[in-house]
Amino acid sequence: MATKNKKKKVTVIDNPNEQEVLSSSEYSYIGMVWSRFKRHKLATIGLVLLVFMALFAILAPVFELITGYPVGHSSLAVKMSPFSTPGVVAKITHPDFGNPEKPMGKVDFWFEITPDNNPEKTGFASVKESTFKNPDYRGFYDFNMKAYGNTNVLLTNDQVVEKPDGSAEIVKGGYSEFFIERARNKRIVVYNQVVTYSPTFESVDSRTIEVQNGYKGPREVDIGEAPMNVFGTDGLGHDVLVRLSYGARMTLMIAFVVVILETLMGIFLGALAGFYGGFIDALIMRILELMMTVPTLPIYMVLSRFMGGGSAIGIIIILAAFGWTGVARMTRGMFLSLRNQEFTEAARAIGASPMRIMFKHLLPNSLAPIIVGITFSIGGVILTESTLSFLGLGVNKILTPTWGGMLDEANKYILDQPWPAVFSGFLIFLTVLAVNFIGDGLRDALDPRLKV
Amino acid sequence: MTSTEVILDIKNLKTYFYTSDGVVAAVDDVSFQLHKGETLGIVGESGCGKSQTMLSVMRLIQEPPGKIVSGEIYFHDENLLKVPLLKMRSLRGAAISMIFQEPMTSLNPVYQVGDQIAESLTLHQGLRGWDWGYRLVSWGLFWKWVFTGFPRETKKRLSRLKVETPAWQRSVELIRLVGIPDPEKRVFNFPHEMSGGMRQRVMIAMAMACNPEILIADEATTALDVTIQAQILELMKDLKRRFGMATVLVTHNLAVVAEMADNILVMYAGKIVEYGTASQIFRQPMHPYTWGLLHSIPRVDQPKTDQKLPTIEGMVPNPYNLPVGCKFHPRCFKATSVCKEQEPPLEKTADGRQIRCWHRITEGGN
Repeated sequence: MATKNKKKKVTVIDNPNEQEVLSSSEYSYIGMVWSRFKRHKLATIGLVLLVFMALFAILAPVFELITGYPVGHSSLAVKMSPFSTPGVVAKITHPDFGNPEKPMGKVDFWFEITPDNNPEKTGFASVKESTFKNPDYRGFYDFNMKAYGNTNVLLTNDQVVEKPDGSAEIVKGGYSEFFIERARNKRIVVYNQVVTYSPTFESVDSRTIEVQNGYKGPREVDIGEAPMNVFGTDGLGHDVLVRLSYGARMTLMIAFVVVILETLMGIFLGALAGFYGGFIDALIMRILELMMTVPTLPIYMVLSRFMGGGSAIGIIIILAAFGWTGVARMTRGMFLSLRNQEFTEAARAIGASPMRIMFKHLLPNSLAPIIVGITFSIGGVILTESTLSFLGLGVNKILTPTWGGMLDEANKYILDQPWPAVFSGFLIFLTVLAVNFIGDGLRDALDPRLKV
Repeated sequence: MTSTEVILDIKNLKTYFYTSDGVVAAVDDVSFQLHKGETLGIVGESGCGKSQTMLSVMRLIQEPPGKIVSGEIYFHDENLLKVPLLKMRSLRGAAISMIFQEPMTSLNPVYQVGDQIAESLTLHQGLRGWDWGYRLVSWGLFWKWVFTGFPRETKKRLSRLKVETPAWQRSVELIRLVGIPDPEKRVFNFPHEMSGGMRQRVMIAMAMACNPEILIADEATTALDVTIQAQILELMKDLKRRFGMATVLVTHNLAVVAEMADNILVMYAGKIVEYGTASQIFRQPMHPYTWGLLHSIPRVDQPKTDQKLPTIEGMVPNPYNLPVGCKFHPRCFKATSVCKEQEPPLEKTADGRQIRCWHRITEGGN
């Protein structure tokens, strides 16, 4: 089919009499742009890369299913197989762990109760404080993972049992199942007791207890029949491939939604400013200048604390609220030059309303540079989002990985485990590059001065 | 040809432009009437306010710099300067339409000409100009084209889908009316695929779409070469004969006016200096300015002389700093001290002409 297409094109161009037919009847404007775009090699590569990224993101649940490694769950689940010996599951990597000459001091203790739609069973408990009802499951999760992420993990098969009065008690060796992720949806009251050793975090709060019986020295590592990790696992024991593809979902979703929002907003405000001029223009441009002069990173940092702390919607709103300026300026510039064109006057003369003139006559004429601009801004948004995630201000990276967040996680173990950082960084690089290539190609393809 | 029914009555129209350099009286106290079926030619040098007068009628003066300061424009019994904007919008293009100066730039480059003609029909007559089937199929075909290449037959079938909507049917009709060959194919052309004359014809078709009562041609033929100009004028004459609309020709081309106009309005520096029927003005110009305009054209019907072609000396006055008295006096060969001091009033003569001059050129004498 492709060769047929090429052949047809060649014959048409060779015959000058058909030139006119070629341009209107056979090829629409979009068609011409597409044929020019296809000739831009790098842009085509960029488009293929982007399609690949999209597929990679779409296939995330498939990767999760194949590897058996859940994306946002505890590494306990990851490090275990159903067949591993109870109590001997975690990989112990810290060199000091179990060294009798270096006492461990305080050790975190946590366990998890499934959120099985029963509010009574949701939350966490500590031995000293008895049961602690925590309605914000994610907050609890965050806290634990923070301490947990920096520590080595030891699992015992001790069971924590809630008492009717609300306190909890450890029942030694009562439970020997480790189906954490697989049992997630079942009614399991308590999974396991996990003892974490936290050499780096000093801010271990009242939930810290001293290990009484939990630690018996370093043990053998038994990975059991855990599935293969193509890209390895990260510091929390997540499969990097699964995390990357879920990260692609989140990162690309944020990037595209932000760009769509900021484009809509920018086009609307820029169109108003450029078309009406005068006071409206002055007002919008002053707001825009304010947005541009304010240092955005500190604002992002402050706002992301307010906007639900780690929800994707918050990040999208923040990025879109500050990102519309570029599109708005471009649109305004185009409208300023187009509103004095004769065809605008002609549209007025046939009785078109201002909105119709703006969005039906002027906008299609100014779309070319805007499309190029927003293509480039996709790359910018991905980078900004990654920066925010790297600073720990982005989307909650444990539950919903993003590439920037993965970089942040990986940064903690970068000397021991460089690969998560390498892979996520490479994907960011590749996507931004692809998007910029596409922008280049579009710029050339949409340029009306270039002939077909 | 000219009936007595007054269709457009402009009274004391003043349109000023307030710029940072000062106030420009682009249109200063202009009054005239347009009758049904009449062709009025407005003549004058560049910047004399002829376009601004007609833009004021359409209320298309760009504000903030411009402002219609005072005056009344009666279209039938309605003062156009008082009607709400929405009503004005419904009149533009439907009852009063305008053809612009530049055929090259007056069409929107991103739409097919059929779309642009159909637009005013959809706006004013509520004809359907789009088709869901067309939209869906074209979108599907686009992707098919992206992946496989575009089959010609399908695109043709697609075009038929679009052209079957009422507004497009009428577009085809209009394009045929203005004499573009092969209208069924030409409706799908983009403006850049047409020649200047064709685009001007499309502009006329757009203006004619809703059978307006007044057609304003703002230097509609200026940018065209002479043969095309003749064709367009012939077309406009023909259309006028058929539909009986009043036409206003704004131009600085006296030949066009001589060919087309029933009445002629000569403007200078925002004011009417002479008004009369075409034969009156061409046979016997009474204002020195009109005289100068007419005599600065080489004539083929007069014997060859060695004398230089007469010109109007000097330049158009600076609009920010108009001369006191008669605005034309620095360039006028008949100027006296009266002209420098007092502005002449617009006077009516017995045979219905209007003149603004202290020293009219009378029969025979210069």
